[in-house]
Amino acid sequence: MLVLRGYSRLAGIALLSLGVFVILAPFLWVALQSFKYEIQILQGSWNFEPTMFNYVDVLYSRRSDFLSNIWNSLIVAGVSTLCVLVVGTLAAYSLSRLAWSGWIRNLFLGWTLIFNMIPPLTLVGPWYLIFRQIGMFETLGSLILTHITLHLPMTVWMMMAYFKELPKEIEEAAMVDGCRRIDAFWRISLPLVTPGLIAAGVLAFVFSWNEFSVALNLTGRDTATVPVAIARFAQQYEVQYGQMAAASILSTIPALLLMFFGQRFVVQGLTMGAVK
Amino acid sequence: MAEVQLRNVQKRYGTVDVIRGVDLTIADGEFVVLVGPSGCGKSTLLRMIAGLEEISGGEIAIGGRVVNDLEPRERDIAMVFQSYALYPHMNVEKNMGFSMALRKESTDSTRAAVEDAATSLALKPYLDRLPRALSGGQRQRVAMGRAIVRRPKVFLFDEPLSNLDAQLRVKMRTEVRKLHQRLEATSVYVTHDQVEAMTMADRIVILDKGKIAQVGSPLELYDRPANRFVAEFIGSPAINVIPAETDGNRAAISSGDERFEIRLPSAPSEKAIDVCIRPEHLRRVDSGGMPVTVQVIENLGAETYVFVDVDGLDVCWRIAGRPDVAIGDRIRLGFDPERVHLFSRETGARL
Repeated sequence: MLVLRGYSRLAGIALLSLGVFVILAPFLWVALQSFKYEIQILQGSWNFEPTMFNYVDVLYSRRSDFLSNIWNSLIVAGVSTLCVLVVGTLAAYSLSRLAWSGWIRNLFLGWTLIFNMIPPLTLVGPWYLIFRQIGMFETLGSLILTHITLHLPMTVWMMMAYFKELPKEIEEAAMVDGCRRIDAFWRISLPLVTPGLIAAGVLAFVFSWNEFSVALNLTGRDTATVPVAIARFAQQYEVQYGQMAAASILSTIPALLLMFFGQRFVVQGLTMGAVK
Repeated sequence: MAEVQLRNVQKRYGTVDVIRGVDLTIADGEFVVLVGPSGCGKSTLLRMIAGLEEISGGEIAIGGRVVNDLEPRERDIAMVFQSYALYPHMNVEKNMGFSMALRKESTDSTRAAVEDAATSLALKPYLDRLPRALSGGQRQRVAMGRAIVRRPKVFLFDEPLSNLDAQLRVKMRTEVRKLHQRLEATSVYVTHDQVEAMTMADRIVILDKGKIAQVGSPLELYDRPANRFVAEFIGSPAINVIPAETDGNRAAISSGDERFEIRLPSAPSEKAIDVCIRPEHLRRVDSGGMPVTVQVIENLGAETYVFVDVDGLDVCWRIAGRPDVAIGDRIRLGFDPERVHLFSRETGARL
């Protein structure tokens, strides 16, 4: 481990503080705005009495759909994460354990990489046309399908790293002990990659929760997700800064909770195989 | 318990032949050790018996039933891996009882079987522990316990002691052997350590480049190696190999400026041969024999290895007790002609 002393230690602390400030400051600023009335926000006043008006308005006012937006987001993120985990884990297991010939594996992994390389906006146009054509436009189903497509590659890659870390002998021992391959997967390998499942699940959920560009184009009034709803607070003639800030802060809660509990696994998952 | 038969067993990876036609019958209750240098195919052969590697050609039968197309779980075998391959998320008891749980046997009988095995392996106090809370030796014993609880027809061991330190290895060697005497189960044991092979085996199978070099009891292999490979592989320190030219039943060896001849028990058919003699069969003589210079002396207490120079070749001479020579001494070493092994220099075959 790198140990800093004297001036370099001070410089290190200063740099870290700067980094933390750059990341946290905008968030704190938004949090601050969410407790102000509209007029105070526009005046830019620092001296104000905090109010919960924005939160109450966002959550309970009759003109706000925010609760149903949260519900939509939960369904989209939850279902797409579940599908991504099931498909991604099975694919990763197959690719890392079974005797696929090299070109099939490389073709598949190359193809998944493409999805991470091209901007999702490129795909929005075609998706819009496809879903219009088959009558799925403005449904949660369409958004779930696109989120699965977008987040599957990351899950496959992460889970592959976890399966590669598992010694092959453990499964072989199980097969000698009397397991079929599927039993060995279910009873031995899967429990051992649980940290990977948590890490991949948290990431897929958070990415889906935050995804904006596709959701904006494929959802309607009833099916809008949280990021889309937040954007809608900025309308042509009026920007509801206070409500927007409150909604933004509310929308970070699930991600913050997940990251808080899953952080250990996520960091471990992202750096897997980086050393050793 | 069962007999294991290998008939012309072959393994190919693409164009590479790893196992090139192995025929072997392992009798019921026999302890057979597969030994050879790394890359000779011994582990591959064991994994083929286990069903963890496909068989490219030939047949493997366990208890009279051809198992080529059977899954590992259908072969009724147990295997102890070099890395132990314990299930990290299960405690010792679950690890050992896993095979019985899979067979849906009652918890009572599973428990009894696990406790029985744990008692014989001194694992009773550790039944609740996870593998990561055990020492290497304990993990190794759990792996053995798991195999015992499985009550298989055949035990397979893949270098199970090579991750242990030297002292523990010697201790576990006897443990494994005792276990075999108690269970009387057919066992196939893979190792690269010829001392392990010599001390544990009923019969040793020496593999060289995917073929059997020789099969026999440890002492047969030591006393009458079928070829130079076996002669060199078995025995520590290794057998001395001295190149010589023959003329009738005499072989000429040159040492420095001197040439000396040894009388052979019979006249070999080839001219260029290797004369091989075990270090303990050399003795000091006053006249005749080979003139040599003492170069290195290794004292082991009970015995001593004296390394001497013969025509640029290192030759080892093993003496019981302490040596009466010093480094730099010019002495003469002789041997009983009956004790030498002669091999063709070209083919390595015994003459």
